[in-house]
Amino acid sequence: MTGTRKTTPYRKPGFWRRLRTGNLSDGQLGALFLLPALLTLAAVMLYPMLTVLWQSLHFNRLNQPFRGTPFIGLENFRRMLWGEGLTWNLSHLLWLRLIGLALLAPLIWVVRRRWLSPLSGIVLAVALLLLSLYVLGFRPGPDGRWTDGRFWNSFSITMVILVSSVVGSFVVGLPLALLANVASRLRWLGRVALLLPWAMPRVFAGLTFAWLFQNQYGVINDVLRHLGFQGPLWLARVTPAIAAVNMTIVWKTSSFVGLILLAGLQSIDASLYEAAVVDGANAWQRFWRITLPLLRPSIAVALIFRTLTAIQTFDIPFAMTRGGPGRSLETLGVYIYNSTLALNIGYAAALSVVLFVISLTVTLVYLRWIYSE
Amino acid sequence: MNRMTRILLALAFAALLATGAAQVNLKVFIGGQQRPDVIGPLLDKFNAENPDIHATFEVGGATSDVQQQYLSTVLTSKSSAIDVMLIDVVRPAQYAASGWAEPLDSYFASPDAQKTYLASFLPGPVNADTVNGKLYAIPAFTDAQFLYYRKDLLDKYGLKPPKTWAELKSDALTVMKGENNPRLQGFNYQGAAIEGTNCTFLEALWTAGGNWRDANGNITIDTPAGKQALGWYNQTLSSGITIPDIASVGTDDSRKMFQAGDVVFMLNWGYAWAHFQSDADSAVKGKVGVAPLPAFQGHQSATCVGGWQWAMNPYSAHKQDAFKLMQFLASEDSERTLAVKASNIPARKALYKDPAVLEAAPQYADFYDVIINARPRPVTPLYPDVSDLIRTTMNAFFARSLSADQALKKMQTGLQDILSQ
Amino acid sequence: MTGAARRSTQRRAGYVFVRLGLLLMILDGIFPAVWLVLTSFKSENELTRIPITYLPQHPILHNYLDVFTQNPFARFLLNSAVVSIVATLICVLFASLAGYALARLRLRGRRALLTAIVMTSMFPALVMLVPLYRLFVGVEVPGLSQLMAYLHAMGWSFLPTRVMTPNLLNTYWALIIPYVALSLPITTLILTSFFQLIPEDLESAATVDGATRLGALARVVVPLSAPGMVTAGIIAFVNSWNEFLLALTFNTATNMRTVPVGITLYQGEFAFPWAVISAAVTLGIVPLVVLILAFQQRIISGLTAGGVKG
Repeated sequence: MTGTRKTTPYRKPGFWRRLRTGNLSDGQLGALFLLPALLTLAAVMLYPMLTVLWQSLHFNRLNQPFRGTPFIGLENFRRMLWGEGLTWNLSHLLWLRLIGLALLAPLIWVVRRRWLSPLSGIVLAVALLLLSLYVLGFRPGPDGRWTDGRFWNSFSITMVILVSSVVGSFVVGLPLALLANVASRLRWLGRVALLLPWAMPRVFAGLTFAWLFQNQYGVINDVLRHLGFQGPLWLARVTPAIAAVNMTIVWKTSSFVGLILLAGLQSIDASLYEAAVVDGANAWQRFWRITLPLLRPSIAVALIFRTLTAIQTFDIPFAMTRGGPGRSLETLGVYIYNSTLALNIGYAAALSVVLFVISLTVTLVYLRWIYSE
Repeated sequence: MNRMTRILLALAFAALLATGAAQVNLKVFIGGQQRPDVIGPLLDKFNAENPDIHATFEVGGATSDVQQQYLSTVLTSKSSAIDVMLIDVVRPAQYAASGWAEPLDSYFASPDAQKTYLASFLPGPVNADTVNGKLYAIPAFTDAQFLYYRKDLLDKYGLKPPKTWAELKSDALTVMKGENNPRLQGFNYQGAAIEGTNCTFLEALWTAGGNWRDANGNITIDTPAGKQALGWYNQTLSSGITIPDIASVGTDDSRKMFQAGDVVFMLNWGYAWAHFQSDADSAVKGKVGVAPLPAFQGHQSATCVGGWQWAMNPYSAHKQDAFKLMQFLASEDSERTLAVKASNIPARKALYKDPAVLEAAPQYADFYDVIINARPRPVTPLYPDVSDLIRTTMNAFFARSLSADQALKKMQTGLQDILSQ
Repeated sequence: MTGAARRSTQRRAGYVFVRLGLLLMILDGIFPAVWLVLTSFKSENELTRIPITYLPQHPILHNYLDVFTQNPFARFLLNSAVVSIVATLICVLFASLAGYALARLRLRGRRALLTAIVMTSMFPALVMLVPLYRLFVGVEVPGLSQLMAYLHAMGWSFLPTRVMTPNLLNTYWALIIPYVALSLPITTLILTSFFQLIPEDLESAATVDGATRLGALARVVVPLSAPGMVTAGIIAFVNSWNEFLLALTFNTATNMRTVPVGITLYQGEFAFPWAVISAAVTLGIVPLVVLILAFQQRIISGLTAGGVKG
């Protein structure tokens, strides 16, 4: 007997059955996996972020409650970014502006080489251009002034710290990571050296270095004295203070960069190097052709977060000099802190929004770079 | 629902009923540096005397700024988590304006009762606590900046504590030349961008006969008095009696340098004395003298008032009980305990003649002459902006980024801008 | 010199150069920490002596004693440990899932999601403090609260009129939840980039072998991304351990304080006792470093043990 069994048409197993056997579609699996992270972030961060955005559009001085908290739109931003009597003054800081313009050339090259899509290139160019309005010479004329010169001061010192500490942390961090990856019995010591600066809380790192940089009781000037030099008055003069704070930040963050790069190095397959040696490549070529390209994702991650934290720098300049001789080390983070302490909440929120916009622009460009392949 | 759930619900219900016999819970906020170990027993005593109130304390961060940070978060959220708080002497005006401190006038039996009560306190702190005629806080303990000097060194050269700044400079130079010690500093003060640097400037200004603002409300910083004040500081740096990196010197840095025996004259707060006399490794034990600040020729000495005050949270749920607690904490007995056990300088006049206090801290008799002339820093709700401007400008001045004239001009125009908002 | 001899000299020179570089880098990283440790054995007076002393002249252990007697430091360590460990575990778990989804699965708006995740770390914590505080003191749950009010008015008066989130202040969760949120962006980004590195064929090979999608994930992907996971874990752990602002504001009871806030309790208003504070900071860092080093090797080998390499 051939027995035609009654066959039911095939029905796709239900969601829960598929979950149990692990056979969900991409979209569903993706949604499921992303849910915990997104939920946590939304629950904790959404309300505060929206509150800050909302507050930046209002006037809010806690020590002047009789003035209420009226909606003032973009007035906070106008006060921050604009001024009176602004004119073009092309000769101001000419050298800096020429450098800025010169940076546009490699940008064009990078876009032509398809490393950045034209869209990102345009975004970056516009951002650079807007940034360099200050640098390009659109500034208060002889009778004019910025409404908030303090903002531009904090902006420029933030940019200085951004560039020098990001570059510095990579210059120090990459060799550190390479050395900590070397097959040697002292490797654990290298890993400790990588970990210790990162493990110290930022405030105490700042305070410790403030003490190390002290003129009478500090180690650094003592060592310099033994070597026959008269050390500068580190934290008591503007330029040495900026140098000292940058050095501290680089010290602290190069270990962060080093850690991430080390992880990237560890996941590079050793057989690739062996094959390269067989092919006759020397150490430099191995580094340039194998290590660096494979490290690109790690470099990108470290770059993004280094930049984000560099823009928000607060703890170390504050702990070392409370904002520097005068206001010379009052970064955006310190300015926001001072505004909050002065109970000018609306303005502090507006400053945070500007910080956010700068960070977002930079991140968008970086992220496009990671996903460009 | 199952059995377990039913039992739990019943227990919860019973617990809810049990808390009906309300014991009032009061929370006192103090900073980490205000000796919780001394205030704790005070609260226990209060709880024993008032069985229907239970007061406990909460310890915050160790510095004025950190505590301010926390308190502003709590008070902005209109939380009733705290009932009584200990605030810095520069805060009452801001708190009054922000609505963060409850005005206390209505809690006294009568305006006369209030006047008599306040008369027993030192005038400086009370003035700082009174904003627009209303009282917002009760002084807990006070502080001021003193001129500390090396008694032994001055005696060696037959010098007396200086009465004018010029005398101080010549005395310092005499000692420095005589001792021939390259580490010895003639005159040390605070030049870092900290709150205390406001006092560094204001004291020089006051002792030159000036003030930051006159009776009509005009800013009077860029004036001959101001020029004299900053001119004096220029002299300290150019004559070498002050170290060139004074712009990085904070309160405790000064104290440590003096304690190591490297300084002849120093401006600092009252806390330093206890360290000089009691720290195991103090190199200056028994060699320290205290005097009022010198002044410019023909003017009066002056100093900055410091110290902390008890204030009430306007969102507290138990204000009458909180006021009772505040009066207890500010009573003569409590303040005596604070003076004897916690080395806090008393805010009550009577305690300066109290035998128990004088036995524990005989230097308070000397302190009295200084403290009675202590003046408050600018009493305005915009004090944070004012303080920020003055201390950063002075810091830039000490870092030689601004000349004296530039600094004075900056402070003058800056303060005019701030106060015109 | 023959080619071989030259190459061997080069190799030896390179060897020495590497060793020297290693030494310098190690010194640079370790020196301030070593300085702190040395300071913790000195007495206060020695710190302001000129010429400065490097090694303590009369080493004392008193500072460490003071650390534990002046404040309940052991309790601070426990609080920090609990909060950091739990936050790290949760964070790495969530970040791994999210990272895998963003790296592998073909989702629409991948880049936008990643940007959104990273966006949450672009605001300074200071300005978000008051809203976060309100959130953890207890806020009304939007839809549910109105529903309860409506039902209450309808006559079901045993229902509460509002539904509030619980007051989480002075609990471990008050810190764990924000710390997870604070470390999620960086850990997600690290893990995304690590998962991207793993060739897809390995996973498909495993699936062909009969494993389910999730099984392939566990057996192939996780071991290969071990360095990334460990790094993400270290970063989340250290971030949570060293976080100051939220710990200061949310957990104010002395027995709930974490280590960074606890260390500031040794300060006086003006006085900064470096010797005791160095001891406290040393005690705060040492368990951290020891823990991480001890577990790093273990975790990597543990994760790679079940894996298929190559």
